[in-house]
Amino acid sequence: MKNSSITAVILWLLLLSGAVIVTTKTQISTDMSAFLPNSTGPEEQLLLEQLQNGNSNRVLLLAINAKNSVAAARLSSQLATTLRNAPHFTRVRNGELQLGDSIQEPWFRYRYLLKDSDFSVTGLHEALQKRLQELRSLTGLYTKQNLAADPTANFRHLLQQWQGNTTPLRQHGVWFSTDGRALLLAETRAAGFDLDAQQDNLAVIRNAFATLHQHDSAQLVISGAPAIAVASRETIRSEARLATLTASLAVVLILLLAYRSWRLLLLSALPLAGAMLTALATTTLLFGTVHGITIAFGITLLGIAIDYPIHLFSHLTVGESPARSLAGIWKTLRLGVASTAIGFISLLFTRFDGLIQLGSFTVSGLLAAALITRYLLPPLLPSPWQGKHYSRLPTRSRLISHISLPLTTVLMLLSLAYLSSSDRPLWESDITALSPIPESVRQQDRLLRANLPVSDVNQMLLLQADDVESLLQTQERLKPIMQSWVADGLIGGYTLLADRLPSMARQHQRQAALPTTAQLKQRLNQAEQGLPFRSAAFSPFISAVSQSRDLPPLTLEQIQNTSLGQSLTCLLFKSDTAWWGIIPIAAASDTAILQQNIAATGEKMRYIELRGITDRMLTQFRDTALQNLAWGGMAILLLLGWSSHNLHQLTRIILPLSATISVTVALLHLLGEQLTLFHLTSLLLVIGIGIDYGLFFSRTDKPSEQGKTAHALRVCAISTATVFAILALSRLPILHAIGMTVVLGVVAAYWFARICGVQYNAKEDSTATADQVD
Amino acid sequence: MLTGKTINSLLLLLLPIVVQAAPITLPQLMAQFSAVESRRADYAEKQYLAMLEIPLESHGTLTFHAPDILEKISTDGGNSYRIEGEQLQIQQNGEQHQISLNNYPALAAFVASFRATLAGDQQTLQRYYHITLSGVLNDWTLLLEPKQDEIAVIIRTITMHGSYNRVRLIETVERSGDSSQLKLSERNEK
Repeated sequence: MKNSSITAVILWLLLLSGAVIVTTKTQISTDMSAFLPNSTGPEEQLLLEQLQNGNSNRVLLLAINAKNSVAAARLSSQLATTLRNAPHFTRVRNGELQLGDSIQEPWFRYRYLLKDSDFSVTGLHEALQKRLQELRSLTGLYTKQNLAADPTANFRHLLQQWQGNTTPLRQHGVWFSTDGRALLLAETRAAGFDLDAQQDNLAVIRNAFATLHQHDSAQLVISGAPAIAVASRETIRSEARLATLTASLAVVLILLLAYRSWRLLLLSALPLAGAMLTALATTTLLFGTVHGITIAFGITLLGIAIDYPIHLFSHLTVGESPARSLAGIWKTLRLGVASTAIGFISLLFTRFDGLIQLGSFTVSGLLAAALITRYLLPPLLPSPWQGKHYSRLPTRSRLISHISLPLTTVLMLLSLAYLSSSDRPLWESDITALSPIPESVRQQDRLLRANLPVSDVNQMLLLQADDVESLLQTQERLKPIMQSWVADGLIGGYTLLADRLPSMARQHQRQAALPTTAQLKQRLNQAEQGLPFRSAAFSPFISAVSQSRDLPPLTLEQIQNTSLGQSLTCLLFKSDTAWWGIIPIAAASDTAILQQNIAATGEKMRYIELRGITDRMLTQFRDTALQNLAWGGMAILLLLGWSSHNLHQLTRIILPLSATISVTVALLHLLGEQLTLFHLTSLLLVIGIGIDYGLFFSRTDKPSEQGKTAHALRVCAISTATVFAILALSRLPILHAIGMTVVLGVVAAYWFARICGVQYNAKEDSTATADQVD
Repeated sequence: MLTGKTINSLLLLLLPIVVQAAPITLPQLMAQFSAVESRRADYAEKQYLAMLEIPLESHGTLTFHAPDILEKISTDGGNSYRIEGEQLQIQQNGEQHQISLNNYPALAAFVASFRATLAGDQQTLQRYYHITLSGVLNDWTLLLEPKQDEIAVIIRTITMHGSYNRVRLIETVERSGDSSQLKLSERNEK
């Protein structure tokens, strides 16, 4: 090996080991918010954060299907017991009656301030009668624990009320869905976005269920945000693995067929591998963590790096040093790399963390691939080149050569005319279109949710207030109104923070209404008439009521760290200027009428549909991305204009490129696709490829060189089209979108660039024929 | 004429008289119970509670089907329940509720004391209780003391009195001092 090659290899190894060291520390995040813009309204931003950390994201919905309802109910109860004993879950509910109101502070201490109590003589008498009845039951063992301190059972009723105001259907004492499945809710200890932990949780549940129903054919369905997230991650992984494997095999095959050399095949992998490692290392260094989508999408986009060694290999000439062959195309290649990079650089100026990551990932990867092709590959090839000679002169009909420019223009205009005349929207505004979750799974989740006391986080009321106290007071004012909405069928249900944490005013009111010790003693005495209770039996109750009269009201700070309180704190948040209350509502039927009713309340409250927000974000994203793409396009134009020899050459690059983009978009639309952010970013890749092809096809008019270039571009186009055709077949909407866009784009780019490319010089025709060895 | 069969029958009739003087063993008692598939008894219960001046009384029927179905139906407005396996179903305030005994160890232990005895299930009984059996075949006393702390904080002792394969009286004494007496008079099932 020559000195230069040793230096190159050492440098490459250094770079490689550095990248490997960095990438071993790479933290891969899966938090989708990186792909949400951070520029929406402050309330909406906070709301989204609140919801992401919220409790609803850690609730699993379980449905059990068994041979009959008795068997399902039994399994429900057994599963609930197992899960309650597992440390993974903070709360498991299945509708079973909870005995023995385990005292939870500070709630127990505040039981007479959190709920209205009837301390009249008749009220007390009725309560005592009920307790007496309970004592006779088998469960009296438990209910009598709090009897002396809370004969009105305020605390127990409080707990029952907190179970939710939408009571699910019950059979055999446990929750059932309308379609006859036993239902359970499991709140996980781990956060909803901690997918590894959630995966463990799912395994725990499935194992528990498997050991319970060994003898019959019962089935368990697990839904809810964490389950869906885990499932979609699995789908993404397996689909991506399959696509990567088939695509890699296809490329290996194509390269082997094209070059019939193992050495070249191995070398072609160097720029690609270097590009990926560098990209990952750079992004890690810049951002600390790399988003999973950045990696998956970025690696796909970096696939273009395989083109760089292909250009070099096809231009190798027998008897000429590889370095010299490379020098011949380097100017063109460099321009191609630079303009592709500019396209991705435009992503750096968006306000989406995810896209900024993607931009740095691809740009650093592309530059690494180009540098490796330039400096590492030539020294590693035998010099002078002794191997095969690759050349393939493009065959073009004379007719097309003459009308290429008008034909391209016409096709471009036709596409644009089609796009502007179509009624079908060009853009996808529904964010779920990007979701890897099949519609059937989402529908399943909606069905279970409708049957359970979990609010649909999609719909909510957002209430603005100056402080927590006025927020709670407003909610208390709203409560009767909301009850009437439920009665009218306007909404299915609601969750009010004030139901759990009453305003201080309301607590003071209740304190004032509490009887004095003397009054209570006297009333109790009367209430006990005809009942067998001993006169001193309820002295703990009397002192509890007396203490309640002097308690400072329960505040948000006091409950924040209790397990019950944590689920409440996600019902409000604070911005710089105000406090916001989230009132989740279920099944709002007619939103227009609801809006009117909300306006009629006169409160600072509005209806929010989460889907609406995310859809709006998507639109906003698209506008920003388009704007940035336009700037990127201008920059590319400037670069090309500055580097081209004349206007004629510039036209031969710009025209096919514009035609490629418009024809690709038109074809996508014609095939029923609606454009998303992934189509859009894939178009960046198509633009890069288009420029590359345009530059190379119009690089020279020497037939000998043209033959090599044509060979290179043919290999590039076939391998790229194959890889992305494989992606287009994927079930994952994201991979499908990328695949479709690039496969159509690369075919269009190749064809347009070829017909518009420089004609070879007829005078050199004879040499060209001689050159065509293959 | 005394045939061999008659002699055998006579001997069998005399057998209880012979053995009743001998102290009964736990396996013997359990074997007797496990031989009965199902039973039905009228009950009269008295609960003596610290909070109450007079005992709380109720009446009804108790039914048992081996191995694990226990049903209590009150005839005077008290609470009725049905237990099958680990599932307890009770009627409360007009609603049917289901409770898993697994969630309530003391309740499970309480149910086991009676149900496991009727089923002749010595293993289950020993899982929950220290057992002391005294007396003879036609008048025995089974004293149960909880093994586990979480049960012992609620139940102090459960004492059953009976003769042959029938339970006559169950006395429960709770840690709180409350106690109850359940008198049973079994009907012959045929």
